[in-house]
Amino acid sequence: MNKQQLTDAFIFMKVGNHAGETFEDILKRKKREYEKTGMTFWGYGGVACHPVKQVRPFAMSQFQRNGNIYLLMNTVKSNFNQPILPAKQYSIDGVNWQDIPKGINVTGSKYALVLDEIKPTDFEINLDEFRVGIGPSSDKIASDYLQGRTDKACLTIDPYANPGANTIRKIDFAAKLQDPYAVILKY
Amino acid sequence: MNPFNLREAINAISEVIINRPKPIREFDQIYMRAGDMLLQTEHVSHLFKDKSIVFIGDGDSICLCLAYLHKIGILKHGPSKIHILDFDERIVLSIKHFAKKFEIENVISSELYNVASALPKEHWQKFDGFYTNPPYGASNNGKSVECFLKRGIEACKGDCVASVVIADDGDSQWTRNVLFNTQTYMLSNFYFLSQQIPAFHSYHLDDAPDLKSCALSFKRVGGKHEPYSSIALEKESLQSFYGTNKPLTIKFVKDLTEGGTKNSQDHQFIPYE
Repeated sequence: MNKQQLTDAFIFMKVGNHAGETFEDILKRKKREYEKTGMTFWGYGGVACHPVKQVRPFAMSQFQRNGNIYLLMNTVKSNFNQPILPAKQYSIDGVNWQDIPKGINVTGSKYALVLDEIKPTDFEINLDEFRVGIGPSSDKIASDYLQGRTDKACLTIDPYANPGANTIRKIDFAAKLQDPYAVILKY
Repeated sequence: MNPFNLREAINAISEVIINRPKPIREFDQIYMRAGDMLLQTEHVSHLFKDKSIVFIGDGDSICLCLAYLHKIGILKHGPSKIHILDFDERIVLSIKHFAKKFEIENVISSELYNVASALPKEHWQKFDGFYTNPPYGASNNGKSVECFLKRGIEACKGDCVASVVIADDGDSQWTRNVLFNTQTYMLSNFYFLSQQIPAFHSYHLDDAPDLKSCALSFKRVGGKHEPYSSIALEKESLQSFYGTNKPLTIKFVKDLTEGGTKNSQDHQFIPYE
């Protein structure tokens, strides 16, 4: 993917080491999972980007409009080191649960994005040109929203942006989201 | 505002807070901060003085604050009767439990009900006022707010009153749209805005910790008795209940502890080896 392919909406996420694995090891494992199953589960947690309330409706709307929706990854230093516990089941609504597909290993996370192949990229985005696209923080400028511990967001381009500042973030990896886009995990 | 003993008032609010179940974010159960609960309770105690009030959902437990603070004399005024309709059995049972413990069962009652269903016949045009702090409708210009208002309006009679809590953030266009649509909807149902306290409350909302809500008070003019005509929401409305691609799929939340009589299943004891 390159910057020209970037549509007017995407999910932005800071990524790094997780659950006792280096980011490089996670990428290798995700590559193997994709080769086996045609998909990967990218685990995440925290309060932003709830799968049912935010990511799925946002992704479905964007998919209907643009035909695809991407996750853009910005690598950061991270010391997150929780015990590794693989999820056993997933759900798109918290009611109906299915077993995690054989070959997929998603660990130490409440939720997961469902992705296509994760590919390296080499471009930058200016967070002052985007706004939060869903939820109670809708309309907030991305650079204001992605402060402190907030490390992910569903973003849409602000056509009227006239940024006085340049909050540049390098996009190191990207992946298309696959239906069902985002899921809740059970252990 | 009437003066009251701050320590006693906060401790009374604390009793209510410790009684509440954990909020479920999937349904926008996002709890108001304690100080704001106290101020909101005092504020609505005047509007609801000596009236029978129905709460259309009440995760915050403002209903219990009103009944309890009035009973122990911290508030001068309060409703004569309160009935709570909520789709979360944990909330319904926690209200019953609190009412029994603090001997306010003569004032307060609760019942399992989802606003997507028709209002139960026995509540049609029965109350003197309603209270609601609904999902704010960030993604649907307040359509979800309207569902809660509709049931409140159906449940009230005559020249009734209403207290509505919705998002109010000057920097955010969606809160302006929802505020405008809410006031328009209420006006079209003969409720005029009698008071607005802007940006009055804040919430335990990690996703948007600065988001505020306002307290809107309404009074109705010319309320007439109408025959029962409440109907369930149509399927299309359920599909976009919380916004585009955000359907309402859950009818009730079941309390697995049966009102606290069974142990919670969210923890496990690990003994020493």
